[in-house]
Amino acid sequence: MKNKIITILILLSLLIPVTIFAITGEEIIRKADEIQVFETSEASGEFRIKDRFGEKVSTFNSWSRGTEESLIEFTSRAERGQKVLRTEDELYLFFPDAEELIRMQGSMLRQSMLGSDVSYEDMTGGKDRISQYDVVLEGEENVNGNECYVLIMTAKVRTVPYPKEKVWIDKETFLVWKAEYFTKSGRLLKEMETLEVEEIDGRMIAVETRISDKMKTDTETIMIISDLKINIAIDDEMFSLEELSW
Amino acid sequence: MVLLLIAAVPFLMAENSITVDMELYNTVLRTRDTSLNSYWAYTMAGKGAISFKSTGNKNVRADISGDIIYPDSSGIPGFILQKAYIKAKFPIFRLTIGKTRLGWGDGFVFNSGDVIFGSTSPYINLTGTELRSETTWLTSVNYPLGRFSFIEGLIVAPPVSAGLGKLQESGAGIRLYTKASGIKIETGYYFDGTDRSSYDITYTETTEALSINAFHRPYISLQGNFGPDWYLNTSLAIPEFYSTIIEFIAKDTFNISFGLFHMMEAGYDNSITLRLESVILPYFNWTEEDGEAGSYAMLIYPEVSLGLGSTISLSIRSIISPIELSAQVTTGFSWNVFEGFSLLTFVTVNAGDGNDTFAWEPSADSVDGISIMTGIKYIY
Repeated sequence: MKNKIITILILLSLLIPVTIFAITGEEIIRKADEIQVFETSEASGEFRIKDRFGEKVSTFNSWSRGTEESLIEFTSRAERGQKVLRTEDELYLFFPDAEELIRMQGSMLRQSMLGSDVSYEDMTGGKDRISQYDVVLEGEENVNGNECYVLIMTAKVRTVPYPKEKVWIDKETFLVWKAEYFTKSGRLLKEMETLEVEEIDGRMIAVETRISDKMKTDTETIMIISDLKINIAIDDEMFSLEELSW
Repeated sequence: MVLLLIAAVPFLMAENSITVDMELYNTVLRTRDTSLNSYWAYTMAGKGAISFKSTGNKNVRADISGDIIYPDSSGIPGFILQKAYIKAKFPIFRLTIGKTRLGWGDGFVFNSGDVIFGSTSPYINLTGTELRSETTWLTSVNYPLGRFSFIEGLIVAPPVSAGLGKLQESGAGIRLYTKASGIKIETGYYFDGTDRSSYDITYTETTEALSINAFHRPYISLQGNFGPDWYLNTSLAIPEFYSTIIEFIAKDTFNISFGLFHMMEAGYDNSITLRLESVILPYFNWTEEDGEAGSYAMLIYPEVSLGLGSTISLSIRSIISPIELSAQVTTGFSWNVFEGFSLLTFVTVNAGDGNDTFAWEPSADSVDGISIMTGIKYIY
């Protein structure tokens, strides 16, 4: 009996490190979110929206501070000079042709930028996926030579764009290499793939991603971030109405 | 011309960007000949807007832009100078001189806070992306008070009709823009020295011959959110000099506009935008009377837009005059096919009796209440 107890204790003790150090789905998502949040950032970028009629390119410059403040200036011809200032719970839009400053709150924050799959909320990294999704670690897979955790995320709230997501997150860098977005019934809507990464300030950052719309044929959005600088000094006035309306 | 040359200097000296925004339409409309017999007319219509914006100096900005408009019956294309301004950013304030617009108050169609240009008239083209775009020659100084507040002062040049405008015909104003308890608060005052007769300073009850050359125009504008975004503006125009009629003129010009705005997802990849605005002039007519078209106490603007993906948009916009039960309804279709290139279609229908603000067969106009426009827009 004594030997049996000792054997069980030994077996349990072998399991202890596994239990203590095994990472949970929530922790993986939290780490993946953390690498996308910077003290400050400055970048240029573009969306290449392709469909059967060709390609539309929209370009922008952006500045952000923490998870709640950002300024985006559109530089492509059709939208040139339009700016969006986002703060914690409000959005200011500036239309240079009308010299109009518009303050908005609520629903506008979740709207997509330039008709892309990226929302104003996403641009600041202000999302809190842990409070919005139930996360289950489904397993591990290799994506293009990168060992990844595979997670299933099911929405807890109705305010997220997709009720269900499946994401592949790098086991070392916590970079999202791939994601699939589903309806509640499990129908695949969109697929995201990271095409190019850059190591900036010790973090692996996706600088080129492709989003394919699985409900339409021949459509995809490529988002390219160039000249990304993080944790740099940015003047407080950058996130002000003065800069917005300039 | 001298001013134009001065304004052109930054473009000659620095880098600039040129944008052309061209819209061309085939238009079919119901109209009447001199014998008042109705017939269907066909015309081309459109305009090309050209903008030269400076880009070289981060502390100085300038823009010259104008609209070339499809020729009228004279056969000569029209030209309107929309903007010609220079802005300079100094360490503690910003200076703007030239022809441009300042957006005071809140509102897409009705904005009682817009005391400079007046945005309460029911007669507006609902096919545009910007419904109020009037500009004027002005000098403004913007002084920041922290990140989300500022004071702005301006002087508006008098209109040039015959010779130089008189000093007392100038406009001058100041506004404060700030935020408190989650609500945007904007308040200001504008001295309107012109004797123009804009919709929101029309007065109805006097029998005296009026000669009022100037008005004091205070306003307040608030904006917040309770699910949808809301905004509320109010203003009035007080005659400059005291007279026995001052009280009811100021009363007549008292106007309030308010609006609600909300965007939501509508199924996969689609969105619905809802907007509802209204302007109320409480001392105008609350009952229908002959000859009072366009001067009733209430107007309503509802708008529903459906965005299908990122390229197709369907919209229905209307100005409703509920007191006389007339309305103008514009349905629109827009398809952004190629980069900068869109196909557009608008159908505008008036529904109302002959003397209504929006009449199917207006008694004082040769154009009946229906038009169909289909065309293209290209920004390059």
